[in-house]
Amino acid sequence: MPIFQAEALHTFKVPLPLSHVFALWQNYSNYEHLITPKYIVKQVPSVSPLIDHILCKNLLDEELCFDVSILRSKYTVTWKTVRGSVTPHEANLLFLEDIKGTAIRCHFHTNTPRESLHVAANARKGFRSLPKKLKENIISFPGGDNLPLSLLSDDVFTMRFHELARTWIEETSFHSFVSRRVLHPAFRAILSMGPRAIPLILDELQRTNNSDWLWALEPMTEKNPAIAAKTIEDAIAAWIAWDRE
Amino acid sequence: MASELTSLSSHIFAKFPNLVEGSYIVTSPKDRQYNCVAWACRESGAWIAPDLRWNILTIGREYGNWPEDLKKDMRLETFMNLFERLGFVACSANDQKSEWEKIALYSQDGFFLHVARQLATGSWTSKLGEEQDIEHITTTVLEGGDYGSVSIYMHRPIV
Repeated sequence: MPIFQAEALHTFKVPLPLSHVFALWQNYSNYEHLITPKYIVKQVPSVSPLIDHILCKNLLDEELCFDVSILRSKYTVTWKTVRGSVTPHEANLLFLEDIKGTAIRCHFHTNTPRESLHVAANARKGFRSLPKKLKENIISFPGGDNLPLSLLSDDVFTMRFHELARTWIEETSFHSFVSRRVLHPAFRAILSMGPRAIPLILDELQRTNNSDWLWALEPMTEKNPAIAAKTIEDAIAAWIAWDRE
Repeated sequence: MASELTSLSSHIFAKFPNLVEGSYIVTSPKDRQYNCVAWACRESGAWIAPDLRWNILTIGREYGNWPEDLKKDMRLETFMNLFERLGFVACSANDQKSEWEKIALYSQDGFFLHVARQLATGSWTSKLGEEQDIEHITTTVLEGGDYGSVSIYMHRPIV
């Protein structure tokens, strides 16, 4: 069977701070506005809290399932179709900041046994329409009309964290699966608070002994100083030592 | 005064519209050492799940007591396979056999969310995640909210 390859590249700029633009891509509910209105995008449980799965279902009821990796420290988002997809493809966005705002570098690649040119052409079309969609959505996305987190005072930031933490615990404690709990919007919002929230998470971890907090630390830092820990106490100690360094 | 032995946390009611006064009783304190799957198959010392979790007491992060050769995903059919291995077979809501125990699997959009076990009295027992066990009069009590709805019933002979 022949294998078709195609790719698309596109770079554009938006006049907004990187943290503001990147936050938009960390919330999957924004994707149906940003990527294509033809798809309903839904985050579904993944067996590891370190990998996100999203399901895109189009109007013809075709489903595409992606593994999404958000590398917060490198400001990159990558979507890769899960193994076994009929049209396997991969796309990534890299966000770069300069004094004028944020540049977004889009890359799409497909390697499929099906005719692939139309898939790449659709990707190109999608990339080209992104600046307009971003402009339309940037003020309407959740939190878009509030101050960026980086501008919040410590007190307000801490209060915001505790509000989200309480909501997350209260609204997920009856779920038996971590994979379900980490889908909650409050948990996603905590992840997007970035490294400034790490000391607050460590306090929460010590106070409650709730090991689910460890799932926030690893994707936020892309590090795991507790990988060799044998107990929750070891894991907490390893993270505190890492934070002090 | 309400304690965790007599009542559920107030936020839980917001998530389950059919969970109302008189439809349930709390039958245990909160416990993070076992979950609904374990409780349904009478393994109250274990947390049974296909996803990664941190074990608080023992050995760091692990897959929760999940068979090695069973798929690791959250789909309903995967959990049906798990229960089949534990001796359960699919049945109808009305199947009533003495000396058999029945479970109800809750799901939404094809993803498994919860399982409840029927008691000899006809009512049901559920472990609510890390919260308490409750006895509820029907499976409907936990439907229409965060557990979705009952998709399949299964039963097995009581050993």
